[in-house]
Amino acid sequence: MAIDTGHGATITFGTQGGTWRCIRIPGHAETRPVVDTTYLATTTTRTNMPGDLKECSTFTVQVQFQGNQGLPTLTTAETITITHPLASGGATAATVAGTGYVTRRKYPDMETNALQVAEFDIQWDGGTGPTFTAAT
Amino acid sequence: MTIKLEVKLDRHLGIQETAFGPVEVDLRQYLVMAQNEFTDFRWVHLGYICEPSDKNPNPPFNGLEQFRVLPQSIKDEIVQRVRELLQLPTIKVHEPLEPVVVAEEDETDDDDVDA
Repeated sequence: MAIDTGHGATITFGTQGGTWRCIRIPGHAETRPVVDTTYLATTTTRTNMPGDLKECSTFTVQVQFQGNQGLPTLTTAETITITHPLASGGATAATVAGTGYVTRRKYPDMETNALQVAEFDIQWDGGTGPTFTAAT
Repeated sequence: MTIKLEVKLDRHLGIQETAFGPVEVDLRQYLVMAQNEFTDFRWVHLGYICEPSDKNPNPPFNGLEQFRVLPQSIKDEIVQRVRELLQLPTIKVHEPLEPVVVAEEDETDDDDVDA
């Protein structure tokens, strides 16, 4: 399968629905803590081991704001799906999906000669996913 | 001529990393797929709908771009089939917004042509 740009990607909310003109959907980061295991007899280099649980970062989606659409609501967790662009000849696009919620929404700044751009932050709640589904 | 349209709901399964390695996870959501002879009977992914639940009794249908560009009659038929498959009284449909088309200046304008 060919490499691709992010053009054509979408984000959907399984309970509240809604559609937005996304400019940017950043990927979330998954990090695992590093647990220090150094003790007084350790030699040469501090030692460590991987933590038990990973953490998912918040990510900020940027959209072209439309007065008749508003922004997603700060409700309880729901299924959120980020669909990657569909590859040419593909049946289904790759997805990143899981349960999460909106933690922040920012209405656009009003400026002359500048498009109204709004933002909202999403946090995966760790209930289901986030999971990756490969394209077919 | 009536072209038979088939609609099915595929469970959306994802791969989640766990302490026991990657495992398949049911996202409690369906991929809405459709086909007919014009797609060469190849299933086309048109959108998503969550499994109805107590917390989400009337989930919306989130259409993808492949859904947005369909004629309204086919969209209606697909939504109707999904509604029947999930036994929902109504379904609110969301689809991507139409792209904004910026009109280009007509370069064949005859204004400069001498009379």
